[in-house]
Amino acid sequence: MSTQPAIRLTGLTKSFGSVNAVSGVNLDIAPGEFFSMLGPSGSGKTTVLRMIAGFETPTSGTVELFGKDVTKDAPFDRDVNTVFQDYALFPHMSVLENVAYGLRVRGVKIDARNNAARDALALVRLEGYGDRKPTQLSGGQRQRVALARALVVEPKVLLLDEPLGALDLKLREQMQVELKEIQRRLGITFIFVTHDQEEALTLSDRIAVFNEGGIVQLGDAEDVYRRPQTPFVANFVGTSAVFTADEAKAVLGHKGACSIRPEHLEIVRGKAPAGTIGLPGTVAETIFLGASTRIIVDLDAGKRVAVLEQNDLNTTDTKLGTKVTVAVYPRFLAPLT
Amino acid sequence: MRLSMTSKIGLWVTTALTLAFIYVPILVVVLNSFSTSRTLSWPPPGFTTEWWGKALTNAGALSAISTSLIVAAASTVIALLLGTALSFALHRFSFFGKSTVNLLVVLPIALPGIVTGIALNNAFRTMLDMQLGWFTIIVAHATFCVVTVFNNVFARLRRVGTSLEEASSDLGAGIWTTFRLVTFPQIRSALFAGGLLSFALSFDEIIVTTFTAGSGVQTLPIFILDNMFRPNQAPIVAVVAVVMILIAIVPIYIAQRLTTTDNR
Ligand SMILES: Nc1ncnc2c1ncn2[C@@H]1O[C@H](COP(=O)(O)OP(=O)(O)OP(=O)(O)O)[C@@H](O)[C@H]1O
Ligand SMILES: [Mg+2]
Repeated sequence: MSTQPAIRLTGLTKSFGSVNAVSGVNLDIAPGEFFSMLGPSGSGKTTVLRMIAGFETPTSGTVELFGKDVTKDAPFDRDVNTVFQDYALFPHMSVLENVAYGLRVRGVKIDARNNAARDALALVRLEGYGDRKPTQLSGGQRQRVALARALVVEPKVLLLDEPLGALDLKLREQMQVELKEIQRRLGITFIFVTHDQEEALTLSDRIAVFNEGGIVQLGDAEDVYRRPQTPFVANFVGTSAVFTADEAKAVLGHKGACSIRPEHLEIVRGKAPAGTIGLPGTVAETIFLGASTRIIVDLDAGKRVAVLEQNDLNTTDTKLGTKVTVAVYPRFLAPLT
Repeated sequence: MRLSMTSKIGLWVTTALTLAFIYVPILVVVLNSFSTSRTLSWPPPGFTTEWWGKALTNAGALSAISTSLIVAAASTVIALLLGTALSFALHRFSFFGKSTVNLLVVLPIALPGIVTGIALNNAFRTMLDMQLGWFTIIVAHATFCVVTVFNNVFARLRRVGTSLEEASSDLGAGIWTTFRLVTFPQIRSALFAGGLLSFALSFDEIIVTTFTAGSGVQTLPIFILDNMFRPNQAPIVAVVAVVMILIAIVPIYIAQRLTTTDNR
C-alpha cells in the first residue's frame, strides 16, 4: 500500500478553446512528499492543481489519488484540500467558523468541531483569533487561517497555490519555515505551486519545473539547480551562462552544449589555475549585491558571462574595462540535453 | 478636496434648493391631508384629522391599498424567483447568444412604460385572448421587477465570484450545502434590496397598470388619479398619498442601508 503514489497524473491535458494550458503531464508524487511546481506565469501550474482538486475537468488524461481514479469525481468527493492563492475565506463567517467549516459539512457536532478548529488555529499559531472576521486579519494571518481550514479535515494531500505570494519578504520566509514544519509534523503530502525558485529550492523534496504547459525537468533541488537539462531551466532556476554545442566547442573546447552558474566561475589575474579553462575578457559591468558582486565579463571569444564573486577578504579589485581572465572549472559544466 | 468658502456656500445652496424643490411639494401634500379645505386650496385654512378618519374607512381607498400591496408582493415574488434564476444562468454558464439574452433581460427597464403597456395590452387581449385583471397586472409588473432583482443579484454574483463556492466544495460541501451556507448568505442582501426596490416600483406603477388592469381591479395609484379631481375626494387623496409615501420610503431606506453596509 505504501508504494502506491499519493498522486498519479497520466497524460494530463487541458485546453481552453485553442489555448493548451496543460499538455501531457505524467507525474507520480509519493505520500508525505513536499512537492513543488515551479514555473513562470501562464505555464499551467494552477491548471494542473485545479484538475487535481477537481475544479477543472481534464481534456484528456487521468488523475489518481492513492491508486483510485478520481478524474470524474466532484471536488467534494476527493480527499485533497486546497489553500487558495486569494485564501477564499468566507467573509460572513468568523475565523473559527471558517476553520470549522469542513467538519460542519461533514456533520460533526458543534462542540467537537469548534474544539478541532481551535486546535488547528493553535497549530498555525492563531490562538484567540477565532472570534474575528477575516477582514480583521492581516494578510499573513489570513493565510494561516486558510491553512488551518484546509488542515482541520486531515486531508492526505494538501494543494497550495502560491500561498505566500501576497506576503512581504520577511513574513514569507517565516511562513516557509512554518509550512515546512507543519508538513513534517503531520506527514501530509504537500503540492506547492510557486514561481519563486528560491522558495521551491529551500522547501521541496522534489521540484517539477513547468514551462508552456509541460514539465521540463523533474528532480530534487540539487538536481534542478546543479544539473539543469535545458537552457530554460538553467536560466529560470537561478541564472547560468548557456553555451550551445558550437559555442562550447569554440570558447571552452568542451564537447556538447552546457551551462555554468555564475558562482562557479572565478575572476583571476594572470594565469588561470591548473585544471581550469582560462578565458580572457574585459569587465563590462559590476553590480554590487552586498555579500557578493556580480561581474559581467565580455569574453574575447565573443560571449558575455556573469561571474559571482564573494566580497570576502580576497576580493579582487575589478573596475570597468579591466582585462581579466575568467577561470572555468570543467566539473561544474552542466551538460544540456 | 479643499474648497474655497464661496464654492462651499454655493454647494450648500444648490443642495438646499434641490432638496427643497423635491421635498416642499411632498410636504404640501402632507399638510393638505390635515387641511380643512375640500379643494386643496393654499394656504390650508385650518387643521383637521377628519380626512384621515374618512380615508381610513373609505372602502375604495382601502381596497385600492390592499390591491396594490398584493400586486406588489406577487410580482416581487415572481421577480425574485425568475431574476435570481436568470442571474445565475447568465453568470455561471456560457452559451450561444448569452450577451443578447443579457440585453433582452434588462431592456424592459429602458423601454418607455407606455410602450410596455400597449405591447402587453395587445398581447394579453388579442394574442392570448385573456381578461385583463389581477393576473395581467401582476405579470406586467413582474416584467420590470425581474430587471431590478436581476441587476442586483447579477452584480453581486460578479463581485463575489466563484472562488468561495470552490473553497466550500473543496472542503467537502455538496452543491446544496454550498448554496445554503456560502452562496445564499453572499447574495442575501442583494436579494433583499432587489426585492424591496421591485416592491416599491410595482407599488406606485401607473402607466403599465393602466393598460393592463382592465376595469375590475383598481390599484392605489389609479385610485388616486381617478379621485384627484373629484370634489370632496381631494383631501382623501392627500391622505392616501401620504400613506403611499410612508409605504414607499421604508423599503427604499432599508434597501439603501443594506447596500451601503455591504459596500463598506
Ligand atoms: N479559464 C480559463 N480560460 C481560458 N484560458 C485559461 C483559463 N485558465 C487558464 N487559462 C490559460 O491557461 C494557461 C495556464 O494558466 P495557469 O493559470 O495554469 O498558469 P499558472 O502557471 O498558474 O500561472 P501563474 O503563475 O500566473 O498563476 C494560461 O495561458 C492561461 O491564460
Ligand atoms: Mg497560477
